[in-house]
Amino acid sequence: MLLLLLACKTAPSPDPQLPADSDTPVDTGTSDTEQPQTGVWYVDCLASEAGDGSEESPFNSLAQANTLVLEPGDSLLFKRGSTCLGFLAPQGQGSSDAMITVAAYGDGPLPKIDGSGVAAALVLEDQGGIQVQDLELFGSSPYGVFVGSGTKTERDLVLRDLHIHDVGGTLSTKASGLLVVQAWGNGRFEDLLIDGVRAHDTTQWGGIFVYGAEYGTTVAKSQGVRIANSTVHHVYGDGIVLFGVKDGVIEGNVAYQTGLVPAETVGTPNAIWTWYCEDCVVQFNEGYESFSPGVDGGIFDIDWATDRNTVQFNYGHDAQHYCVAIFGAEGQVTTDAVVRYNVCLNNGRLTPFYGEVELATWSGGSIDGVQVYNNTFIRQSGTDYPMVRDWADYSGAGPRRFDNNRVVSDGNWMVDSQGGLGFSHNLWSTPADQAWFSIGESWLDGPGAMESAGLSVGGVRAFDSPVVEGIDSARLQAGSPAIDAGVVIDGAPECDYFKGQVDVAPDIGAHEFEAPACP
Amino acid sequence: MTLLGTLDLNEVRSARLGSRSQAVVLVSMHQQHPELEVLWRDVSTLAPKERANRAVSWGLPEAQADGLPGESAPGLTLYDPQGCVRWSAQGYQGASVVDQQIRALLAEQSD
Repeated sequence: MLLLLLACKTAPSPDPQLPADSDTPVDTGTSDTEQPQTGVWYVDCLASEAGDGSEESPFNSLAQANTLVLEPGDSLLFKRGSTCLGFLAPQGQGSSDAMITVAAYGDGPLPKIDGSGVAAALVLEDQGGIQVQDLELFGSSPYGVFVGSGTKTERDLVLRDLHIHDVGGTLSTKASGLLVVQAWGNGRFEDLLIDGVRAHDTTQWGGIFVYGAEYGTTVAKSQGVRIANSTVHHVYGDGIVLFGVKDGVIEGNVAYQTGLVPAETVGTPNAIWTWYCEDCVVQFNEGYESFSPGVDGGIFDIDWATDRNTVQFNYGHDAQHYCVAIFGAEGQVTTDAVVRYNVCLNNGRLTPFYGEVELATWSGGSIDGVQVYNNTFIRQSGTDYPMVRDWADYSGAGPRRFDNNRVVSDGNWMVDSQGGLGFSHNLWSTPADQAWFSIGESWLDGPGAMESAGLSVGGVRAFDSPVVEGIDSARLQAGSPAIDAGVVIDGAPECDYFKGQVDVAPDIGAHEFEAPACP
Repeated sequence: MTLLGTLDLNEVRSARLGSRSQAVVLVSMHQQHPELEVLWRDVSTLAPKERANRAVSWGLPEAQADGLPGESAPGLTLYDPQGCVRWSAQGYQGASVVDQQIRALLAEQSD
């Protein structure tokens, strides 16, 4: 290799400074009052004496930092390379144009907050206009970071580039884990950003758990919650979830080794999912190696009590159970769920009784509007369990579409459906030259079965044998019957998973063959 | 095999699917493919100490690359064990795209 390796070494700096791209203007002036500085406060828990919070004489404990009431625009900075014991609970309210900033100064590793013996290493309660970044937090239980709202709407919160880990203790509730955002009573949030968080290793439930409004109350859902560019792994329960949110986004994240709880206690987990979510989008994420001691154990899930949720451009692989699910339950109607341009590979890894796609309802729930299109589902498990399982009850007049999907399996059983879902323009591939479809009261197998049942139209073969593409390849190869064989779907994205432009005759699956790059 | 990520550690925070997102994919590939060497380099003009701080904050693996011509960020390049470029791409690349390039090259190498 011609590449030269350069270790990333750092050294303490005598010139503490704010991150160069800090969004907050900093007042570095001093005063002659008991609090000698306004605007910027420094904490170095390795300092031998308790200072006044100035750069030259920093606070040396969290107790000191927690007594400050920060004003809008203030900054509270922790020295890189230092470790504080206890919990950080910065006081004060900022605003959207004068955010309070809690961050790091100096050089070296992230400042640490060791929360051993306390409930949470960082607590923000009934506060807004505050951003917390560049901290390592660990050791507390049952939360690593707890952000709560119980009285009113809290606006403009940012949690960025936090490293949260090792939250232990006995699991007793879902609202626990590494980063927990919870609203109760009249509390809710608006404009909450979680970006660049690394959260791992907990025997509590969640990795990044947002419960933005109490279910069953008249309080509006939290609005404008975005979880981005974060990594969650080795958690007992869910990886990343949005509950009780409107206009929520989960994008650019990775979740793996989720659902490690050894026995079912408070629930059954998935890697990345939404519940009681309205106009929520899950996109550009990767999930893999999800587990559950019971049901679920999948990667992506549009769960019940959701309206207009979309799962798109994601990659789910090597799950214990399903790649993506759509559910309706508890008398609630799940409306307008969309699953499109995802790549699912080798799910159903350990317990292959789930489909790559799972649609189900129970306890009086139903689905009104579901569109599953232009996904690629590939499985090599050596089992014959259906790739698509549709055990859902449907209601209303919304579309019930399973179109333009490329389904490849080394087994035979492709679909097990109660008959409510419509199938069109899909490419079913099995090397065994024998695909099975259980739809309604019908059992179909053999070449032409789908066409004869009117389930696959437009000249697309029911299955393609032998498999044209490699079974592990989500990209189409020249000559694939999937090329230009899809149906045009209103409202479909202009780009495929691979950022190719979808042309007027869309291909089947998540890949548009030889497509020009999207702008 | 080496996967090189070209990143802008000074990327504006509001950028979507840029260097920050690509860094997450890079770290994910590092996790999933132990036989893969994962390197990154920063094409911003950050001072070395600030670059080091930013790398810590982003959670990037320590290994950094040097000595290659500048490119725009984000970008990825996959090298085979002989140091030959086997795949490269500019702009954010999703995990499936990168993972399958790596899998294909690993399969080829094992043949």
